Amino acid sequence: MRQSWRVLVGSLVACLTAIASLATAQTYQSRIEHPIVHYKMSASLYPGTKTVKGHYVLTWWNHTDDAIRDLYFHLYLNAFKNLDSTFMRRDPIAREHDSLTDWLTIPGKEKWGWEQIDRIQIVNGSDLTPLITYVHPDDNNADDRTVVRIQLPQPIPPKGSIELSVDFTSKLPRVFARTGYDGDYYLVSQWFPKIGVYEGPGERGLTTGGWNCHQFHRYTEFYADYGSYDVDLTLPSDYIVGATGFGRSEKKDPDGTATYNFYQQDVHDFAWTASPGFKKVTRTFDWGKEVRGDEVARWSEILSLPASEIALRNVSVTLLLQPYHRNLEGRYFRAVFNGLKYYGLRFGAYPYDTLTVVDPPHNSYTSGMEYPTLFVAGSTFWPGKHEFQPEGVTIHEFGHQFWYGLVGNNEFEEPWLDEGFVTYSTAKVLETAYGSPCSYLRVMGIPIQAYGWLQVPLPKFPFVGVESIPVGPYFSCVKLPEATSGRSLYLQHATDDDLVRNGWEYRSRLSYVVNSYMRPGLNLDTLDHYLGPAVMARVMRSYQQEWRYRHPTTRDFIDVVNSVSGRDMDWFFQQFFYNSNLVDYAVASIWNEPLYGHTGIYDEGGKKAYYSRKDAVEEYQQDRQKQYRSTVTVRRLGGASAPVDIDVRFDNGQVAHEQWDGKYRWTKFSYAGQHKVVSAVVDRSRKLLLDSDYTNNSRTVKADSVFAVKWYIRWIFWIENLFFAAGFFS
Amino acid sequence: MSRYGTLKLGQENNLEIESARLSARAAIRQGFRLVRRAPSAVWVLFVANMLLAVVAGLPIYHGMLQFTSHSLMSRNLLTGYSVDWLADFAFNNPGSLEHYAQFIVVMGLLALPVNAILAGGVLARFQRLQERFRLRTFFRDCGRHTWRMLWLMVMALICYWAVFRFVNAGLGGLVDQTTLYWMNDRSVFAAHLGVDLLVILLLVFVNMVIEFAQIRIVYDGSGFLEAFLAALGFSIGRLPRAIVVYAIPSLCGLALLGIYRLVTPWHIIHAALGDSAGPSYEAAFVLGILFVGQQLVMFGRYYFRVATWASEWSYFASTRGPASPTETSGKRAAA
Repeated sequence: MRQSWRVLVGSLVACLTAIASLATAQTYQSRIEHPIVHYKMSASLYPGTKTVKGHYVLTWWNHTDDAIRDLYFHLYLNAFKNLDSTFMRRDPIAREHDSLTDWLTIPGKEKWGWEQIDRIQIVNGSDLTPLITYVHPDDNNADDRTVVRIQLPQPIPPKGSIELSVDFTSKLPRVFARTGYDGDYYLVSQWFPKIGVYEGPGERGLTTGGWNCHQFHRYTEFYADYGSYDVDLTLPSDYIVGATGFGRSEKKDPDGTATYNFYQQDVHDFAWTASPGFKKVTRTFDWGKEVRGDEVARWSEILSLPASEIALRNVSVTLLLQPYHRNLEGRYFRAVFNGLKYYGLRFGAYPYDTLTVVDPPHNSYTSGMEYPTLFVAGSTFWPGKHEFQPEGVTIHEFGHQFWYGLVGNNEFEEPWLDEGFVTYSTAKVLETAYGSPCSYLRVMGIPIQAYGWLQVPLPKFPFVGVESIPVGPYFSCVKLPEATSGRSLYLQHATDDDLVRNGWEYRSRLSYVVNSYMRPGLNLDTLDHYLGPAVMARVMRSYQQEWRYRHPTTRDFIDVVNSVSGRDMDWFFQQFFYNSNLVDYAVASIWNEPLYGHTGIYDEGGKKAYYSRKDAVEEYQQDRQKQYRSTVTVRRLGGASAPVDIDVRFDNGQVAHEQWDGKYRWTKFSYAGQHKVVSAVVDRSRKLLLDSDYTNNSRTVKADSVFAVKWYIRWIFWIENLFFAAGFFS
Repeated sequence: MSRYGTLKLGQENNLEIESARLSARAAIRQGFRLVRRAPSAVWVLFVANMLLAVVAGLPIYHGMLQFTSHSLMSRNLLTGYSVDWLADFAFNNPGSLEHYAQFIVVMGLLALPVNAILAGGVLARFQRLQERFRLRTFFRDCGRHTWRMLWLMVMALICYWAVFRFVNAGLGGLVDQTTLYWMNDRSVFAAHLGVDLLVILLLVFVNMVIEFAQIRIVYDGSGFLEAFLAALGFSIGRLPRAIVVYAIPSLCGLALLGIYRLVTPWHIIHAALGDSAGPSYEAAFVLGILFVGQQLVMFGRYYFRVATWASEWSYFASTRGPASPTETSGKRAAA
């Protein structure tokens, strides 16, 4: 009896263990019919020298009909090798990079990073190492060592493949941009020799095939083919590790190290992080608990899809937290769960089993960066309740799992296709999950953020470092609509560049930022207004689903827009994506004039009848039902054009709704009747978020000064206080 | 009755000290009594600064009016704040905001000597409590101490600059460099906070020294350098009590601003303004109430400022005995 009880308990425990292991087992099934790459890799971290030594066998498939005679690889870490790399070159853009300036002051040679292929050979074939040459396809910078070309002795036939065995060494840089180490914290990304993308004829609009393998530029990001990564990482056993993919095994080595195996299919990159200081917390996103039935029904209706296609997946979320940020654990998880939920409902379920979120150390310059199934968020230790920190960056970087992770655009050539989409999508998710962010801290009644946008120089001292104290909840909140939060910065750089452009060819860093983030975000919201939210939701979902695990271009997105909406929206993209014209519609004037009777000479019954002006005026004044002719002039002041609606309000409260194609420089609307026009508004529903002057979109006949008096009174008070403070110094 | 005795306001123009040093509490109490008897000094400071502020704000008023008065955006600004409007204004009036800021800075710089000069009149008023307030006399007193007050102001500015340069920028920069690669942002915050608190304390100390120097200039007609050095010694020698006498009335003024910030019913104001379509009696009334309320706060702040001077004056006087006759100080100043 006693024995059978033990057996029963043992069986139960075994069952529970099996169920538990099933719950965390890998369930992801590859969705890609023909993956391009497969890396079978092992790598060891040597903390003493900040070096990673590794070996991989790369299987690369030629998916095109071209015979391929050479191979291209990225050696991204060579960007940090010296100041002559394209990445580090001291051009005007580089000088805007504060973290580099700080970095250069660090003494010693340990901070520099580099990467080399120690040996590369075809498996069971010839050694290719002597055939390596450095190339620089973007800028002819002969000192740049971030791209190599290897001439093959035999071409890879169409639809053929090649297996390469590669030994490499990567010296990690002291981090100041995305990758490297800071103390014993490692964020190891773009760290191994990574094959470029061979694009065949017809792909991404190309007529001839070729390698797409750009140098590493300061602000551009990445581009790679989908495939699978099977990676063994060996590092000191007290380090806590997070990486792309699913942790399949972990074993302690006799030399005090541990080896972890991570595996993931259908991704285009592999990054990892390690630190003995991480606090590791894992929770499961249980979609059955997080998403209500009515939410599924609502999205099913909006997207015209069966509810089964709205279903999400459970995801194991691991947070690698700095121990001094333990107060943020709940906020991080809530943000990630909101991302999984709302992105999933809109664009389709996050397909992978795992997601790792890294909370980086202070000033590590790694925050806000995305890699497949792993991203780096970031926050100060004491964020205000409504300041969207860490929520903003967490949801933004999570969004990259969809835009760039799943839909793999070329970030070098069209950065807007992921950053712009994420800006647009993050605003939607934040608005749904949290509402508008608040700005509390104000100078003379103006939110400090707004003050910052204007770039009016505020002295930074004396309170450097204390500005992030969340005193906000003690004051009233000024709502800052997320959708238009980038408008001010956009306006400052509106005419610098066209939006669709190579990432390294924007005029300045801020132009890159504006044209990759703010402007496309505003444009997509404007498109949303023109198509309607439901159609736009269907467009975005179709684009996401159609282009998952592929490399779309702007043209591909336009085609999806046209096809799903059933409208030709090419004009929209021509106006707002392929040029840098400003858009500005204005109500230029409102003119009400009395409609006097006849004045002058008229032919009446074969005679010339004369009516004097004086008589006409007198007659008009005696008339009880006076008639007016009102004219509203609307102008297009900017270079861009779009159809707009115009509302004209009369003194009896009636409103006339007008339409204008917005193409010519101006148009007029005239009305004759007993009522005068009192005001007019162009683009009343504010479809055009890029309009450079909302204030002139409306005009009233009567001037109003009360608002100015109110602000004058407020300003007097705050200036008095300023002078009171000046009195302190006198 | 203080532990150390009382300060009597005698029949003469000058203050008489009956016994030894006042306690901080007694000095503050005496200070408030003094300022109650010299409200006109508060009025002069208040009105002068208000006029400066009115002038400083005029360009903004005109800019807003010109840009927005015919737009429906004015309704948004009437009932709240519009981030969009600010972006519009900044983009479509390039340089205007900088121009307004520069104008305010210029007026602020003007406010420095104006307040320094007026300080002479305000402090001299404490010597003339038995006399009826006359603007002519007030400005004559201002004129009597003008140059020494201005030199003292220059000295004060040098001291403030030194605090900003060596402590805030120097020490702060050092802390910046030291903490640049610290990984724990709590520690970084604490290090910066330490420097910032030190800056504030030093600024307060300089301000206190300068105020005691102003008092000394008026009280016994000292030269600015002598007054400054003596005030420095005085403040260091009696640091805890001097700080209390300085800080309590000053903080009362600051608290007044905090109370204003917390209790102003903006939602009610905005609702009332929103209900009044355009210019109306109701809007004028609401704005009138707002203006009066704000100016009451400012008057209160100047009241506490003068109370700070008066408390310091009382404390200083209690350590010095009767002040020298005004005429004497005038002659000395002229010499």
